[in-house]
Amino acid sequence: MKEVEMYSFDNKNYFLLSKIGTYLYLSNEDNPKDIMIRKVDPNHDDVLLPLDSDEEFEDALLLLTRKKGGQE
Amino acid sequence: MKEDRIGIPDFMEKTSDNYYKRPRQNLDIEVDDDYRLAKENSLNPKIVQAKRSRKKLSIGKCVTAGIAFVTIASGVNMGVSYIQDERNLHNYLEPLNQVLVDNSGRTQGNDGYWINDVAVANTYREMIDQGEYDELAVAYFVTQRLTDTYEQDEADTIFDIALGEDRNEWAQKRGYSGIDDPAFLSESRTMLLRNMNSKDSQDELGAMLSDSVVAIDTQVKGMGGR
Repeated sequence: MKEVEMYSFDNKNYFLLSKIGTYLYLSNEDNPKDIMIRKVDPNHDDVLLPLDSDEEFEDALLLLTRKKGGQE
Repeated sequence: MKEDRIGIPDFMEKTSDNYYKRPRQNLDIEVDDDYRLAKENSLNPKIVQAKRSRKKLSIGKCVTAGIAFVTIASGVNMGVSYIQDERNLHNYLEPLNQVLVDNSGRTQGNDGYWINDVAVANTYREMIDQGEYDELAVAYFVTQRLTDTYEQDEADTIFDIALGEDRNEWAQKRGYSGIDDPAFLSESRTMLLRNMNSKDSQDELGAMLSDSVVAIDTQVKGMGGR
């Protein structure tokens, strides 16, 4: 078992898979296909902001793979 | 199979140095759907007020989520040149990573790990002084490598000693809101790649000039021998 941070909203529970900078990588506890990347509001830790563009989404994905690759 | 303007199938995919999307026709439809859903969720303009808590989950659930992210990242929209850039950047920064590895270890009981941040920082400073890396490379590597909460004190110390100042101030002096500004990592990556390519070009030019000198030298010797 591993203790993780949970973010609950819209009647769903997402756990924090990873945090890179302001990016949060979230996965639905009950549905592993329901994943998302959000930005945390610098002034409110519990406020999650959307990404701005397709490009930012791809860059954020690559940041995660780069981090995981670097740990191998 | 698509044809480009000169009529050679897939010519651009096989030859272009520019970033391009991987052909999608062979991708698994399920991965495509997962990618689309993840992107829609991420770009959904709704600002969310979340309730935070902590919970224990099975390792398997965490691994499954990790695989889901990596699958959509590796399966969709990663240009081949982008992957090549990543590989080059990884190789370029590997000596910095090795310093980190050489100066870290597991704690007794194996429930955590330590980093000798002062030793890492001093080594990075020496590498900068000797011209092996510039400050940008060190700042980029430390920022994208030490991202976990429990690594932030070490990242602070490395910045303080190796780069001589607080990391947020260092970033702000370069026009970013702070070290967490996503633009910092993105733009630094671009600049590092540009510097690497420029250095490669200089090395190639140097090698060409060196070859020319050898050729001229040989010619002179040949003439002198007549």
